[in-house]
Amino acid sequence: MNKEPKPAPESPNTLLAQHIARQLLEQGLIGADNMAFFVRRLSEGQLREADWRAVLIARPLKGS
Amino acid sequence: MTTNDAMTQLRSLDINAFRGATRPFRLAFDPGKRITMIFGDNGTGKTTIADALVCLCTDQYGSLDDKSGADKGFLLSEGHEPEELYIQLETDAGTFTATLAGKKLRKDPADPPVTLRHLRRGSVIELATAAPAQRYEQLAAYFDLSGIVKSEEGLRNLARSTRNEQEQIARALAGVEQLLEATWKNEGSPGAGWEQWAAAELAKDLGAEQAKLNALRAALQTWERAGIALEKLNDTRAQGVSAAEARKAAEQRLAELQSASAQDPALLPLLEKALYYLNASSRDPQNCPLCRQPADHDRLLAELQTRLDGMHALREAAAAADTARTEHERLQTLWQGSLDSLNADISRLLEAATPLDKAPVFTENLNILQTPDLTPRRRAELFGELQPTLSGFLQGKSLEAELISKALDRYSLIHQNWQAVLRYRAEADETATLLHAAEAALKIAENTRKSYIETELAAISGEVDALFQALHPGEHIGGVQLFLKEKGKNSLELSARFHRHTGIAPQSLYSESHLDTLALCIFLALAKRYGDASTVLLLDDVLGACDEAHLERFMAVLREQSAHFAHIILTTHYRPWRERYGGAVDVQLVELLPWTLQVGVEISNNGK
Ligand SMILES: Nc1ncnc2c1ncn2[C@@H]1O[C@H](COP(=O)(O)OP(=O)(O)OP(=O)(O)O)[C@@H](O)[C@H]1O
Ligand SMILES: [Mg+2]
Repeated sequence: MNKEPKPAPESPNTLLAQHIARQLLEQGLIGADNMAFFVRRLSEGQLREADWRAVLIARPLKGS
Repeated sequence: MTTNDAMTQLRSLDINAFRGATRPFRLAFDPGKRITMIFGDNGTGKTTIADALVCLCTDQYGSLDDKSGADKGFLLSEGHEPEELYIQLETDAGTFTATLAGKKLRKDPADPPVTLRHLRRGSVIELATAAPAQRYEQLAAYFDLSGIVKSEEGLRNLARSTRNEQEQIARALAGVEQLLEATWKNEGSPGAGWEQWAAAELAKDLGAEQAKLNALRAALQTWERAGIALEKLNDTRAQGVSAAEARKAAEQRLAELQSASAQDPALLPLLEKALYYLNASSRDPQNCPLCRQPADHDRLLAELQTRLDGMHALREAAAAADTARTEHERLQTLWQGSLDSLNADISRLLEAATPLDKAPVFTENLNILQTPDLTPRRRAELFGELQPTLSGFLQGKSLEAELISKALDRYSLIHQNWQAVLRYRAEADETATLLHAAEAALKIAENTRKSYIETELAAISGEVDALFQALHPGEHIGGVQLFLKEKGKNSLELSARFHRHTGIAPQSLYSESHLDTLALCIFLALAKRYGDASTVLLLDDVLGACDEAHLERFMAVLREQSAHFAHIILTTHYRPWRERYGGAVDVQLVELLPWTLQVGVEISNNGK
């Protein structure tokens, strides 16, 4: 009689990715769309130069 | 904080053919107790049990990792086959098994139901005394930020390459700006500056100039074609004149021959047949074949031959006269064609020349060629006569075309360069915006990561110190701090207090047992902070250097902390604990019997 798998605790990578993403959003450096996807890729080390370029160019508020 | 029933519960551990467990070994966990203390003298199998858990629940090999040169092949018990080896942990969240596949352990399912945090003799002291970089390595798994660091690297690369891009664009922009400025200066620096000048230049409408150039080019082209047509006409005429002469001579000769012979050309085939007849051998040589009168055969033959020769010359002359006439007629047709095409070219020239500016004398000349009722031949002649004058006029037009063409080229160069300036300026703006964003984002990422680590370390330091104070009350040691060096990447510094000294490296003044307990406190604090309901602590014989008082305090601390973990398993050969915890409500005591190769690791029955 097994019990439900326990939810995995947030890893430091995920926690930190959330912190960073929130601040980038506050500064208008990234858009609010696809936030969860962005956080996941940030935490998994999947954001390469080209991804950052796309994200920063697409942001809604240019300049600040 | 997790509640008790949310914690993973260990049920049993089975080991076979693994290290000292030469026969099937089973440890059944007491459901009501969160701490399992495995007591055994040296060589009874404590590390075998600990290693089995490490091998099962982590990617490490337990104590074999500590011993350089130890062969991982010795995971298998002496004298056993690989298929016999298994390690199995049963929990309320599932059963987890490892078997041997080649030299590697195959695990099923892939992820363990528990997170094992383990510490053993060999690695205790290192935690407190290792160089900062090694200490970081040991603890990095706890605050693994490799994903963030990697993504951060991508951002750093973007900032770097955008900076390079910006420099390249600036260089290219300066290049075309200088070029335009130089052109402006070349033209005497008109107006307020080169930019205004370039803008004014580009505002000019060059449509009229382009139309003029097109008209000039069209006229020049028709002029050239008419010239070629005239040349051809002249050639054809010269050839026609000599063909007419040749025809006249041939016809004259034919007339002469005809009047001299006065012969009927119809006679020729008859005479040829007669000659053929008389030459035949069987003929009568004495008489004429026609009138049957005596005749001189030889004379008859000679006469026939003379008359035939005369008639052949006449025939040749007739053929020559015919050829000469045909050639003359052909050239006449050709001449007519050339004349027509010259007339057509003259018409085109007149049409193309209409929009051009011209002096009255040229207008007059061109008008002559347009006089109505002019025969094509006369027109061609007039064109031939006017050609030298018209040539001067059209040379002037050719020069004019060249000048306009140069002006248009210059304009298009300014245009291209100015467009490049505008494009580079727009690109420079975009790049600057992107660089600004990339640098700001990078700063946020770096600072957030650093402050995250600092916050974490501060929290851990507080916890470590609290645990350490509990172990060493009133001993004037503690004040433990873990921190990252300003610049030092991935190196974890450790400092503590010793009586009057603060901020010292503990290994310089702390005793061996104090370093042991310090390491244990760091280990506990980290496991607690980053642990969850499935975290199991495993401490294999870690308190060798401690005296009785500290051991007691350590156990007290451990029992207090046990609420934060799913389970704590510790091994010891410290005999007094066997008596002390034999009947404890929260501690399950497991006593190991002396080990033999035949029996392997075995639990004593009186140890409950
Ligand atoms: N691959 C193996 N095959 C057979 N026996 C082994 C193997 N590996 C270890 N052993 C033996 O198993 C026994 C138990 O060893 P283990 O290291 O588990 O003891 P321990 O209780 O941890 O001892 P100590 O208190 O000295 O640390 C020892 O006698 C050891 O030599
Ligand atoms: Mg041991």
